[in-house]
Amino acid sequence: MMLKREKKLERKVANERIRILIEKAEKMKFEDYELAKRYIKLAKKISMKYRVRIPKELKIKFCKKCLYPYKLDKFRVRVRKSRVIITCLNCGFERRIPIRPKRQ
Amino acid sequence: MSNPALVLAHEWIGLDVEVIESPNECEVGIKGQIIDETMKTLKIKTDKGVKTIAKKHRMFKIKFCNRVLKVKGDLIAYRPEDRIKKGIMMIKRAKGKVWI
Repeated sequence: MMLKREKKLERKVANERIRILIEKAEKMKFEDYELAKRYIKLAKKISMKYRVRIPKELKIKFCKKCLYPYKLDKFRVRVRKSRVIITCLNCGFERRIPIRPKRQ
Repeated sequence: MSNPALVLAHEWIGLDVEVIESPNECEVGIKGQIIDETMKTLKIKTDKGVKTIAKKHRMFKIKFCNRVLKVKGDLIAYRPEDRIKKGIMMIKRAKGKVWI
């Protein structure tokens, strides 16, 4: 009989690895910017292969398009028209995060 | 992280490693932190700079979840993202059971 894959365990390990990699990239970005990008690339590959979401608080730490982590002097934050706009100064990609007013 | 056998599936970047067996004698005793991993090599940051070491035919001593483990390099000679699937299957084949 063929052995079955342990998908639940795979996803659990994948989640832990993504967290480790992005936290490593956060520390590494001041020393070696290219290596920090490599860590995020690995994290993204793992998340796509095992279909695990990257948590929201980690997602906003790097550019969605060029995968460089946001670093001082390499990104800009503006609030305009009820949304936060984060611009990556490496590639120019704009990420817009809407802010919804609380309903009463 | 609870099961030490999961070292085959888990992240190696950032762990402390030492090469204890190798066909190349100069590589024996290299010690340091892993900074990158590819399909066939590990990059280790030592006092004398970054060293690139092949995985196959080597034996590594690694610190993982408060234990020191000996790992055969042939078992981890896959792409880093493939290792989750293949590592877990390897544990399952050896013991027939996986603890979570």
